[in-house]
Amino acid sequence: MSMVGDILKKTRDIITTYRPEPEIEEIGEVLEVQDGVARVRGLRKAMIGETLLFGSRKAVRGQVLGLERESLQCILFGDYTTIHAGDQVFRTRTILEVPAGEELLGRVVNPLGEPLDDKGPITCRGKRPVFFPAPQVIDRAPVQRPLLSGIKIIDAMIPLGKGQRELIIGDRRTGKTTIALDTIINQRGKGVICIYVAIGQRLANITQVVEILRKFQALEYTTIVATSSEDPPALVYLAPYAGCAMGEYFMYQGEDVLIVYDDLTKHAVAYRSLSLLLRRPPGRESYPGDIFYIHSSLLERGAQLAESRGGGSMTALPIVETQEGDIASYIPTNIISITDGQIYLETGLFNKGFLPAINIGLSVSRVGGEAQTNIMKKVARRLRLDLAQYFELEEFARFGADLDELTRQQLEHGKRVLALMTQTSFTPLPLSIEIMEVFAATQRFLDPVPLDRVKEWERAFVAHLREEHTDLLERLEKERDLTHDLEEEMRRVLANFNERFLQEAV
Amino acid sequence: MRDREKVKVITPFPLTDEQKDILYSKLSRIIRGPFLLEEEIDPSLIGGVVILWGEILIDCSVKTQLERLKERILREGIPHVHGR
Repeated sequence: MSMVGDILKKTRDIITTYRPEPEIEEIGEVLEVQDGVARVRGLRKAMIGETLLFGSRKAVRGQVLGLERESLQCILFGDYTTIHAGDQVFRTRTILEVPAGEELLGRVVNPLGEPLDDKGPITCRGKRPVFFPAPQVIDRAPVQRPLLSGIKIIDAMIPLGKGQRELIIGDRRTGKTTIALDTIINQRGKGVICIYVAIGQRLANITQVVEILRKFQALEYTTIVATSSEDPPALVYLAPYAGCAMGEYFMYQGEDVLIVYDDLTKHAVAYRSLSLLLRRPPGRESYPGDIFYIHSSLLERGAQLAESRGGGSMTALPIVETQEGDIASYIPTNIISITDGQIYLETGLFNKGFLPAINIGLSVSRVGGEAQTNIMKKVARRLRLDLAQYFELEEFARFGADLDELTRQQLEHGKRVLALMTQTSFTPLPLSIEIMEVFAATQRFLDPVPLDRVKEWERAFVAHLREEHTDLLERLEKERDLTHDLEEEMRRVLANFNERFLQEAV
Repeated sequence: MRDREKVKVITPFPLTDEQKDILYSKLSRIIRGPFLLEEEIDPSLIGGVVILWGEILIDCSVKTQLERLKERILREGIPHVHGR
């Protein structure tokens, strides 16, 4: 009752002290609208990047992207079919901003921050400019803290660090989104805020992503910024920047953020459409001249900040789709040169059932060892070597030559290492288990196991570790280095397990 | 410039000649040269006047003031409001 009393009093106060004032605004007029691009007459003082409001109800937002002699070029977000020639246009004197904050976690929104799920309206306490300069050199710190994907191959050989930009690239349907989602799922309980930006995806795919994140309880710390192929190109173009801005809100508060851009190929196509509608001169493959800048300015905003700026980070996983495995085409090469490495997925591997279908030879993490714990670093060193040797021998053995015993053993060892490195989707593993598996593989504990039982071995071993060796697992997670004593314990555990496992087979 | 010759005046009810004269003389202080008052009626304004001069909109309507008042009340008067 007293709250109602308070409200009434406050309302009365506001009304009695209110001073009416005339409002003076500049008005522009829509000359033409075409496919989400409007030309506006008037508003001479409007600036590039300024937000404008369209229609007498000011319902549709747009942004000034071009200044011509007698008109402005604007892209429209929202339902531009309601805007017609002759409609009024208003300035806002601000750049485009999006709502940002904890209130967005667990929600699906469009790039303007409007809810797309049915969980009710969103009121964010904070907001951030959609376009914002990347942190300066002086504000950055080196990438040194690991960001674990939970995928064995990646965490062992293509390790990710907080603040890194790692590209996930491959043909359609090779598992690119799955790797990103796995990484998001693996952040549960690790205090990393996740943002998944769907750029011009099919609605069915977006729905699937939401479902997967919900099923693995990742939705609570994730915001999904969604644009579908049905949205106007301006909105699709805006999506990654909006998501980035939402991430920057947390990053500049000292938090760690992971952001996925799925995918930048569609983003490039949307920007190309917009640029052509804005009559900008087309360049190579009809892309506009600033297609590189469009992506570099986005990806450079992901970084590890220095302590002086709060020590937060934003790790970016951009996704690019290639045609027929061509990573040397325009957009892929652009983005490869911007990111700190790439995870390359191949259709051939995918079809052979080697999942995740990562081509280790062509994949790289330019941050590498800096972002790995010492234990994993030591244990994984042999892995790359073993696999490289195996691939070489595999080529050779394919020609059916007679092999000497040593070579044959190498081959069999390599096959088992490879088999252990495969992983089913949506089963990210904790670091300690990854370390044990990589150790088991490279230290030849799998060699006595029949090849067709390797996966069975893995299942049993992981269960065994979880049941009986939680203290060892804890040590692996926490300790700084692979001491002789720790290594001995690992060997002991493996040897004992193997004895039991192999006996049961017989 | 061409824009300035016609000034649109939107009111909730028709203006008397006297009111039109006052409006014209007030506006001549900012608008140089001769101009024409083009009248339009919009009852939803409730009171006051909206003046559209070329690219400039001068909104002195009661309707807009009420809207501003409403916005202020919602923003400051009520402790926790969910988004519109």
